[in-house]
Amino acid sequence: MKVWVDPEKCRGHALCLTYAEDAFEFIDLEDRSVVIEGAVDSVAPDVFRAAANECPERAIIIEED
Amino acid sequence: MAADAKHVIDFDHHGPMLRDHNTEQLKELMYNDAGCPMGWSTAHNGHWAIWGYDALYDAVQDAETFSSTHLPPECPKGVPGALYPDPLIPIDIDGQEQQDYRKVVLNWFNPGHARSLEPRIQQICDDLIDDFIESGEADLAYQLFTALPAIVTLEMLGWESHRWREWVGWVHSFIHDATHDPELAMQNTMLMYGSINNEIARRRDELGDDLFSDMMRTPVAGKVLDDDELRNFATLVLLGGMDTTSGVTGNSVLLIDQDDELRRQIIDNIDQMPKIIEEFLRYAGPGGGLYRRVTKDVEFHGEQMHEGEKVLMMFWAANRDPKAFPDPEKIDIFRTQNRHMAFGLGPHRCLGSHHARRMFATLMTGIFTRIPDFEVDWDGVERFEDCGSVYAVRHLPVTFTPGPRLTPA
Repeated sequence: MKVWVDPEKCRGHALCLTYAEDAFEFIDLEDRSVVIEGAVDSVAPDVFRAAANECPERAIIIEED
Repeated sequence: MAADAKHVIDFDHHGPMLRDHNTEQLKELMYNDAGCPMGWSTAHNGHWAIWGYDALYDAVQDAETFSSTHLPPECPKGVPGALYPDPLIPIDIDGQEQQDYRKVVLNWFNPGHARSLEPRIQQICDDLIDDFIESGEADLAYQLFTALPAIVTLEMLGWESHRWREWVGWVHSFIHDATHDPELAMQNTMLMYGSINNEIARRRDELGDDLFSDMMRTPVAGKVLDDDELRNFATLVLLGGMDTTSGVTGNSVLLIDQDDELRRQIIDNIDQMPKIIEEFLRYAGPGGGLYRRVTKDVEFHGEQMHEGEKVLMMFWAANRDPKAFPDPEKIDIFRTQNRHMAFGLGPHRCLGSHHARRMFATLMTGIFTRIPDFEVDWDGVERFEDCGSVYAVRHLPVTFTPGPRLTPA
């Protein structure tokens, strides 16, 4: 599975940090979230899917294998 | 304008219907026979209102067509046009300039900073509840929901927080009196501006490590903000900080008071509060009419819109769109795919959303932990007269079983 946050769509709501705090981190001065490096291997795929479901900007992109 | 509108309504968002029959009014807009996600209202010299989720999503992502700019006197923002003379920063500005202004305060308005404030937010909440918990009665809206965000906002700015009642009075007048008593609103706005100017003057010689000092020292496009810019930026921080979080908390408590099962669910799942609040942000948000202006003739979701027309962006209506939220009138604290628009979407997403969420969760946890059996005295409940900008409770008297203070008096 590939997961990333589209930097053009993310508007810094940070709900992904509420729903998957081990998977996403926030870049303060860019006002947006990114996937933590290596998190795709350590965090369950369903956690990413749940976070993507809550993102109001639909900015979390998941490519299933 | 808009003589060719297909769906015409007579909807006054500043009127008593929306305030007193909120759910019915929002339903009336949503469930129209033609299934329109938007319509042309004849109120206030005519304007569009968009309530459909998908239409609002599209509009908010297209700031070039749907502009936030405040251009008095020809086209002041808002429906009806706002009274204040200059754009509020950054909400009344678009594009790169808006993003540059936001950068000035991003060191403060980010999730990590909101988290770092949590112990202080908790302390303020505990102290405010201590003030009334032994008495068995309180005006939750004023003594707790209004007080806490106001104190936090002033502490962030580095301003005297014990003066919160004064600031709150001016802010409430700015927001809630502008349509029905513009003279009073302007009087209070001038008092607020005067106090902001005093804060600017106080820091001229020595800046501190507070939010307002950062606003004064951080250059935008190579130059520090002048006094007008500082005043217009600070005004927005006050407006955002002092009326909205209290609004959603009051709205939520009123709903929960009418639903014993919901109250029990919240108490049983109190450790889930960061997720529970999302459902109340969706259904009980302070709503309001945010504004856009159409910059060019455009066909949009079945309607022909014309350059210069005003648009009311009804995020709180969209939050009840059945196409986006199954069974939207049910408050389901376990709801998933809850992509609500309580903080707006797109480039103007509410800067204070991270702090608002922390404060809202802390307030709710405080109430349902310390006074879980509260009963609302409905005869004493008073809403702000005008809910056109912010749908909020002014007075919310409750009684409850008295409890102990956490800190001795």
